[in-house]
Amino acid sequence: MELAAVFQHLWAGLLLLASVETWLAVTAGVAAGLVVGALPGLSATMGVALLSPLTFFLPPLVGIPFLVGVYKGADVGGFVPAILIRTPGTNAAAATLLDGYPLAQKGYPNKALQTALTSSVTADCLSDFILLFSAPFLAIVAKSLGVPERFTIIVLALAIVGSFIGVSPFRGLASAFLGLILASVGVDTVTGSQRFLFDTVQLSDGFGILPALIGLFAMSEVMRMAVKVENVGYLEIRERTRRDDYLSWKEFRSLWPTILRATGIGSLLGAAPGIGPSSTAFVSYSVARRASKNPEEFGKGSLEGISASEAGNSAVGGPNLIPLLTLGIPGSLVAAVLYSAFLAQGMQPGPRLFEEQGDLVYGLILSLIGANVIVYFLGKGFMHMAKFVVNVPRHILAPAIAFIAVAGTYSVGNSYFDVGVMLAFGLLGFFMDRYKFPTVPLIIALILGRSLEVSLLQSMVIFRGDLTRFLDSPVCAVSLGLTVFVLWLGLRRLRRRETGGATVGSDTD
Amino acid sequence: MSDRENFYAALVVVAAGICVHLLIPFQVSTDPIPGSRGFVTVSPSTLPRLASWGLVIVGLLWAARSFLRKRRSAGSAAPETPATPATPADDLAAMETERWKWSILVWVSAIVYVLLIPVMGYTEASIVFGLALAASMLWARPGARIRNYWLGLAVGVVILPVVLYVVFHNFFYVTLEPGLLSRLLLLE
Repeated sequence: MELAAVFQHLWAGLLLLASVETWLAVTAGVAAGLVVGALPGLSATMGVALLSPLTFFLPPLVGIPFLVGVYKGADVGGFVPAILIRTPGTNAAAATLLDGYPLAQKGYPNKALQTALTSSVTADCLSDFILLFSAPFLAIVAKSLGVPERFTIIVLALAIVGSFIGVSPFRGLASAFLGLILASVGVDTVTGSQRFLFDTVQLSDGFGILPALIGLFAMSEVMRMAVKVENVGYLEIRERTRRDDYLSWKEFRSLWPTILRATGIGSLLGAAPGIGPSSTAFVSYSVARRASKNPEEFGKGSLEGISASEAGNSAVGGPNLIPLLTLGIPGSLVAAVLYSAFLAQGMQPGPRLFEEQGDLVYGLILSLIGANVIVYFLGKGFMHMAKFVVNVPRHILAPAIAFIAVAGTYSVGNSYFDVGVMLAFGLLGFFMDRYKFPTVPLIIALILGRSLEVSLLQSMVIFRGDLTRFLDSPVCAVSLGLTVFVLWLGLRRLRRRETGGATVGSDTD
Repeated sequence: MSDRENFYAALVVVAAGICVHLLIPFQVSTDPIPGSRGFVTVSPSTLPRLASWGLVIVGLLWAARSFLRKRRSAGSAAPETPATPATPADDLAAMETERWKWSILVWVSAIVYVLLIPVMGYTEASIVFGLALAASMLWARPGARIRNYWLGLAVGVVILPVVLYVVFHNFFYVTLEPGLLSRLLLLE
């Protein structure tokens, strides 16, 4: 019965996509994302956060695919400066430059770019199919989870993002707790009592997620640009000097095992909260090097190296949305922005989403798959135009971003107070970055804080105040056990980092 | 960042947690929510209290770790007296000592924990045991001198739980009210 409903919604979603507006929006989003991704210092999250106010006035199947297009475009745009001028446009492209830049220096820039593009798009497509086929069934499982299970899963999610993101679990957890404190500002939804309002009526609804996001990621970056103007290498696109400077079909076929392996790694790790594309890129790169027949080529322009890193970071995209769509828990920054976009569209992410708005959700997932085709063709054209983008001076870029941030924030609620909140979060983000406190745990705790509190309250009512009853549920017991394990892993990771070992999960994107 | 900078950052985190905690009575209602009762009651102040305590605990652990690392690195920077070269047998003996130390620590801690449960109840005993173990591990960490190890064991696993037991025991037998520890920790 459930399977029949899934196919029914799938078909209905496909029909919903037969709309020119949707695909125009995806194209526009990809184009914007390519530009954002190619600009060093700007991230996919910043692009999605800055442009999300535009989508609030659009229908769901226009606005949300637009944002997803921005994200996918930024993913591709990020490797262009990484390969050509050794400066990754996004954190996720940092691993790509290890082999992309040397290959470009050897006289094969187009081969490097094409390898990155095809690997990225292929892996992204495969991971979107994983999302399509796994999310509905995970949503069915998620529906069976009760309030105590939800509470412990949120605690686990916060423990993961706090322990694995940033340079130390202490900083990450402090950031998460700060996010919970900020989440409690406003009128309590259960009792109606005021919390930390300081006689400011505008704080009754708490801090808006979008002003917080734009402030933390866009405005803080503007402040960093103002404080430290970075000299990005000037990008010159050379005319093709070699006849074989292209990716042949035979070479692409030989990369399939690498792409599939990296897709598996990226999808598996990407489904967990807190693991982002730059972590999976490096993990995929390391695994590919170990599995390669020519490991000595890595670091010197290996096609496998480029393919593994790009496939690894792109395969995160689809599975990253699994916790958001099935549990309503954003596991990454982009998911956090999409969470606010979903809410603005009247869609509540969580187990019931597939039941109540199944057509829309499936339409959205199918649009992700279609977007990959657009990314491929636009990406190919973008490589020839990249120099016009990357060479924009910082003293022009920073005010432009500030303008978009202020205008976008104001347009959400027509309130200067929101702009003030955005600027305050910008300052907070600037100093958090200065002292190496990660902002991802803060924003995720800000989003999940109220859900955590409500589920704790409901659990306390059910259990009549007996905390030990949490252990009666296997899911709760396992989640709490995993929380302790994750905290221990975080400490172990810190120790290894201090002794010079490699680590996973240190994304700030 | 250096251990010193980490230490000061940790103190800032602790201070932030304390400031938020002090603000709570002035800005947030502490009346329990109807329907939540028992060992832990929930009020509008629960989330900010838990979060502020979280900041304080994380900050304290971080500060302690940074302080110990700073002291260890300062100690190792001191001029060393020439040591006799260690033989393989010496290394093995040192490793065996470490293993015995940790075994004793774990067994004694487990026995104390089991004794505490019927007196305090499962949850309170877990909290007391966790605090005691954390305190003892700060002293009795691997590589610590034997004197530090025994001191940590004595204070963290034996003396601290006994003191806490005597304090709570009197309160338990006088009031027999659940939620005492949570009230002391201002969780409600």
